[in-house]
This record gives sequence, structure tokens and C-alpha cells, in this order.
Amino acid sequence: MHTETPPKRVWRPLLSLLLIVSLTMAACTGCYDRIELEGMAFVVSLGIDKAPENMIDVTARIAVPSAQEAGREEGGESGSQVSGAEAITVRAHTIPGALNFLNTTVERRISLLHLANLVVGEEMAKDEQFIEFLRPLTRYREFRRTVHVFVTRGTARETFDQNKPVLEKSVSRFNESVTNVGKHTGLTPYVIFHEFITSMEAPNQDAILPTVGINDKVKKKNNSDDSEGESWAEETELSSVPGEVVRQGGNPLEFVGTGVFRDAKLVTMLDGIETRMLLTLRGELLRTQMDFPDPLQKGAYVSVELKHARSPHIEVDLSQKPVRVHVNESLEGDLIGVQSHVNYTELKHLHQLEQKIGARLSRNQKELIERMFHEYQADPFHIFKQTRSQFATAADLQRFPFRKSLKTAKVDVKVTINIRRTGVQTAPIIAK
Amino acid sequence: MLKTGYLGRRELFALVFAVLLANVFLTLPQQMVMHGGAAAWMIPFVSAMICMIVWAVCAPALVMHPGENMLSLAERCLGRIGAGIAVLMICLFLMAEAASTFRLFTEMVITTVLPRSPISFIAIPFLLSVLYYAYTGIEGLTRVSSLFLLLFLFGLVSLLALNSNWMNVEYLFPFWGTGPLRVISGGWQFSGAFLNVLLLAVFGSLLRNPADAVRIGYWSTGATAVVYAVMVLSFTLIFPPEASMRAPFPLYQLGRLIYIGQFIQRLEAAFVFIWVALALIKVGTLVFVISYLIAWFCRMPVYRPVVFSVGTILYALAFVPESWPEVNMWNTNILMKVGWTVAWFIPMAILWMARWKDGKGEDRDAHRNAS
Repeated sequence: MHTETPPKRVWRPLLSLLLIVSLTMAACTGCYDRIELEGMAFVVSLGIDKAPENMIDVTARIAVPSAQEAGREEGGESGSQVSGAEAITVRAHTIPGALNFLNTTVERRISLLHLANLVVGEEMAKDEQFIEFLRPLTRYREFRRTVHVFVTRGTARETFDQNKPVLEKSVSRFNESVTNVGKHTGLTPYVIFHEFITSMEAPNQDAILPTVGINDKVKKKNNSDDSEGESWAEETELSSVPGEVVRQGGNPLEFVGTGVFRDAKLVTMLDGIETRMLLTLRGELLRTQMDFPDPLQKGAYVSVELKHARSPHIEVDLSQKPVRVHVNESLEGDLIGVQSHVNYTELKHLHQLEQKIGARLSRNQKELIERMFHEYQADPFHIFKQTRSQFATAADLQRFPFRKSLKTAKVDVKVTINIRRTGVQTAPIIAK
Repeated sequence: MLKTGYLGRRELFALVFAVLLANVFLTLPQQMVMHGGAAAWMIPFVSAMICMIVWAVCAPALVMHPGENMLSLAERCLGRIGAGIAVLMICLFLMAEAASTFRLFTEMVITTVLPRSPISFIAIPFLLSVLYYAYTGIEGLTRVSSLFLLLFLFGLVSLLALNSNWMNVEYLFPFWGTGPLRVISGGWQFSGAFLNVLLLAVFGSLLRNPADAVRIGYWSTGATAVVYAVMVLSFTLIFPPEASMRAPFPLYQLGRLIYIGQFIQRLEAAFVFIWVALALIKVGTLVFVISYLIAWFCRMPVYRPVVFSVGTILYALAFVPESWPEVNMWNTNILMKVGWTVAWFIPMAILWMARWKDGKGEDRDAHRNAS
């Protein structure tokens, strides 16, 4: 009896398939770049401070896996700080060098793959060589340009030590929450490393960073049981300067204000209210609550929630000497709180309020722009960035005397307010 | 002509388009920005205009000679030696281009994705894959390209869309960038990236209808110009020209910049597949074309025995430069500057000569018939 053997063609694809599967299995089981998760120490926060002799102090907070964290808490090691190992500071010439030195005390390979934020100490940010220390980061493969960057009043090391969040435990989550809240209060800007660096690289614009301040009174109160920290009760002036917000309790750190850079160097810091003006001028203000004196009753205040009705319209006349800047803003919002007895649902009163708020914002913004332009020759508002379209070629742009023009620029700001809604009540409550 | 099958017009379009598309994942956008500044996005349109004019001049020769390609026409017009010299020049350039792309790709993988791997760990599997694809020939390459083309385009579009939150319109100004003359000279220089004219001049005859090659030429040039322009435009919207000049791996940088809140970030790994696949198609196609040309020149009936020798030379040549900056310098200062001579000048010269000779022949015939 004749039995048919399968033709050779059947075996060929089968053998090829077998070869492909074996090669794929061999190639996928591991490679030179494999790193076990258990062998890595993920830095989630990095701080840079100036050190003597052209060196830097690099502070790192390393993420601690949840199981280990639970063990540490049982052992009573962890307090109310964010989760992660205690901050470690090493001194080195460069950031990569510092990461290497960190491994003299950390038993796993240091990695920046999960870095969430970079905190720069004030002295470091004011140093001429600040950019030289940042340069290696832009080249470093593990470092992402989406990392959030902060500049702190004082040192980054102290900022790490004093960070005792009210709610968040995870550094990454803390970072997200702080930046999200900042977007809504308008008291601090939202800046990632990419924006910071490109603002320094591109002509006719200057970089900003959100500031962090350590509130000494809260810090002292947290560190001692006596009533030393009670002095806040006697404060008569409100403040939104980083580290000087009048309060009791909470995290000693305050995420408020803006650091303004010129030529890659910190030149000044804005408080929270000025930051709102800055963000409004940059067209980055989200719906934000603001308090204004009541124009119709002395001593009382009205609260409004404002947002951009449209992006600010900015005109810069470069042909004039000095250069003239016209800013036209249109904001709209809701009336959310009135202390006085004035009925703002009456159009006459409402228009008066709109005009007063508009005039106040115009004045404040003009003063802020003039201060930045004339005193610091810095443009954190990105007003002159919009003049790029007035130059035909890059050579023309480079020839423009940017800083010189800022020093003498004439500024004119007009803010128009439209209050659309007055809340869930019309007339104010009147007591008997 | 060597033994190969027939090609579908969609497949051939997909192949030439994919080969050109691979350039945007390498250093081409950076080179364009270095040349044109904020106006770099105009450069691809100038290049495309040059290529379209070239194609308008030379494509009719393919229609007039159905079943013939640039090689057979070159032999008829220039003789065996003249055609051999032309083929040799093309082979030398394509070999240098393939070696440079091969090395750039492996260096980019090491720099960005697998920093601790030895270069051979990346180069050898890549070379084996390239050889496999080149061995399968034009049919295999066109099918793979047509299969993945939509995925490549979807990947590029999503890469740009996911970065839209970092775009700044102001960075597109000054409008003329480094100046109109630089934009025009850049258009001429970077027309060397448009290898579709050469590929169609050689393989257009494999289409059942040669007139399709003419349409593919225009469409692939136009589509590539749009993709190049959009990629460079988006790159300069996100990285101002002053910063774009310093970013040699633009699309990788864009992949790493994706950050749409907490849950949509760190997506660059998804784009590495597209990057690898395009590099594979480009180098595979170049190796196949070199093998095909050598086989034609040596009057071999098939190209396949040549593939492995070409692969070996490619591997050796790729490692002549000592470092990434050196290979990048060779690519920018030499290959990109002389590329146009091979990409469209030689094909144009040959095909135009074929048209001219035919015209003369027809005139002579017409004159003879009349007398």
C-alpha cells in the first residue's frame, strides 16, 4: 500500500516558524539593558543648591516602595513627611557626578526615570553659572523635559526637610496636586523644564519659575510646643510673599509667587497677587477668585471669579522711540461674595463695580510691567515674544536691542471687566 | 531586465513614501531648521517643486517606453560603459546613504533607548532583518510598506496631536527664518532626500500600467513634502528654532514631551516601533536597490546572491566613522549636499536624453517617410 508523505513545501514554513519563534524567545528573554526593578532607586525629587568652590549640593528624595514604607511606619521612622526615604544631599561638580556619589550611600542604582520635580535653591538660581549646572540635564537620557521646576526661597535642602504635606503622601501625587491647585488659584505659575529652558534659549523673552517659600512661623510652631508661633495673630497686613502668608498650621512650605529670570539668572520674585497679574498678561489665567475693595462701601470687600473672555490683545510698536506697548484685556466672571449691603444686581452698581475692578487691574498690571521692564529689563510676560512676527529674518531679530528697549518702553494697559452672573442670590441679606 | 514580479500602484506608492518618511525620524528636521530657521517648513515645498519639475521632464520617457526602465534606457543612450558609470555612481551614493542611515539609527537607539547595549547587539539583528527584507525583494518590501503605511501616518499625527499643548505660534516667526535665499538653497540641497524619483525611474516599469508611475511620482513627492513640512512646522512650534537646532532626535524628543496630565504621559515607547519599522524599510530598500543595480550591471539573472555581499560591505562601511558626531557630520556636510545629483539629476539626465534621442529618431523617421 502506498502512503503519501507530505510534500516538502509544508515543512519549510513550519521550520521557518519554529526558527522565528526560537529566535524571538531567545531575544526577548533579556538584553544588556535589563535592570530589575528591585535594583533601582528612583529619585522623585531633586534639589540643587550652590556650594563653595564652584560646586553644587544635590539633594535627592528617593521613592520607597509601599511595602517597605509600611514597615518603616510600623517602626516609627516616618512622620508626616511625604513618602520616600529621607532626603540625601551630596556635594559634586555636576549633577551626574552627584548622582554617582549618591550611590556611595544608596544601595540601589540611582535613576531619574521617575523624577517629578526639580527644586532650585535661591542662591543657586541667582548665580551666573546656574545654566552651566542645568546643561547636563538636557543631555541626560533619563531626565525628562516634563519635570516640574521650582525655585525656593532659601535652600532646596531645607525645602525638602520642611515639606510636610497636609494630605498627599506620594511625591508624584503631591507634585500633580500642587500644580493643579496653582492653576486654579493663580497664585503660582505652572512651568515644566521644557518651557523654562526654551524661554531662556529663545530671544526676546524671559523665563519664570514657581516659587516655594518656607513659612518660618509655621515651621517654629511645628517644631516647638510653646506659643512662639502664635505671633501670627498680631499680623495686621496680609501678604502673599512666598514664606510670609499669614496663617497658622499646615505645611511649612508655601507654593505661592513667581521667580523671574533674566539671562538665565534669577533677578526677582513676585508675590502671589503679582503672579496673578503676570498670568493674566500671559493669557494663562484660569477661572480665579479675587477680592477687591467694595467701591460703594468703604472697608467692605467683594469677591469675584474672573477668567479671560478672550486672549489678551498686545500691540508693540517697535517703530516708536521709546517702544510703545498697548495691552488690551477682556476678563469676564461671576460675583461670588459681597460683604456690603449694596445690591449689585442693579446695573448701575454692577457697572460701577466693573469699572473700578478694571481700573484697579489696569493700574496694577501697568505698574508691574513697568517695574519688570524698567528696573530689571526682563520680560516674563512674553510681550516681546509676540514681536517676532515684526522681523523678516532671524538676523533682524538678533539685531534688535531687546534689553535696551525694555528700559525705556512706554506701557499702556486697559482691562475691561464683564460680570456676567451674580451668584444664587440677588439682593444682599439685610438684618432686622 | 532582472526577474522580478509585477507591482501594484498602491504598493509602490507605499514603498517610496515610507522610504522618504523614514528621514523625519532621523536628523533631517534638525538639519532643515539649521538651514532655514523658523522658515524651515518651507524647505520641503521648495524641494518638492524642484522634484516635480524634474519628474515632469523625465517621467514621459517611462511612458514612451513601456516595460523599460532607467537602466535599459541608459544603456541605449550612453552605451554599456556610460550606463555602467552612472550605475556605479548611484550605487556608491546609495551605499553611503544606507551605511549612514544604518549607523545613525543604531547610534540613536543606543543614545535614547538602550544605552548600555553594545552596538553590535543592536546592529547585527538590525542587519539580519535588513538582509531578510532585501532578500524578499521589491514585492516583499512594497507589501510591508503598504501594510504599515497607515499605521506610520497615524503614529506621526498622534505624536503631533499629543504635543499640541506645548505649541507656540510665535516660534514660526521671523517668517523668512534665516532668509529667503537660504530657504531656496536649502530646498535645492534637501531635494536629495527625495529618492522617489530614482526609485520610480528604476522600478516604475514593474507596474502593469507605466502611466501609474507618473502619478505615483507626483503624489509621493507632494505627500512627502506635506509630511516633512508638517513635522518641521510642529517641531519648531514646540522647540523654538534656536532650540530645534540643538535637538538631533526631534521625534524622540517630541515623544518624551507628551504630558496630557497624570494619565497620558511617558508614551515614547509606543513610537519606537514606528521608528524601527521605517528605518528597516528604508535601509532594506536601499540594500535591495544596490543589489539590483549591481546584478543588472553584471548581467546576472537574479539579484539575491548579491544581497549578502552588499550587507557585509554596508556593515563594514557603517563602522568607518568613529563616533556619532562624525557620522552626523558626514551625513550633513557631504551626503545631504551631494544627494540631489543621484536622487534626481542622474535619472533626469538619462531619461531626458532618452526622450531627446527618441525625438531625434522620430524626426528622422518622419523625414525619411516624407521623402
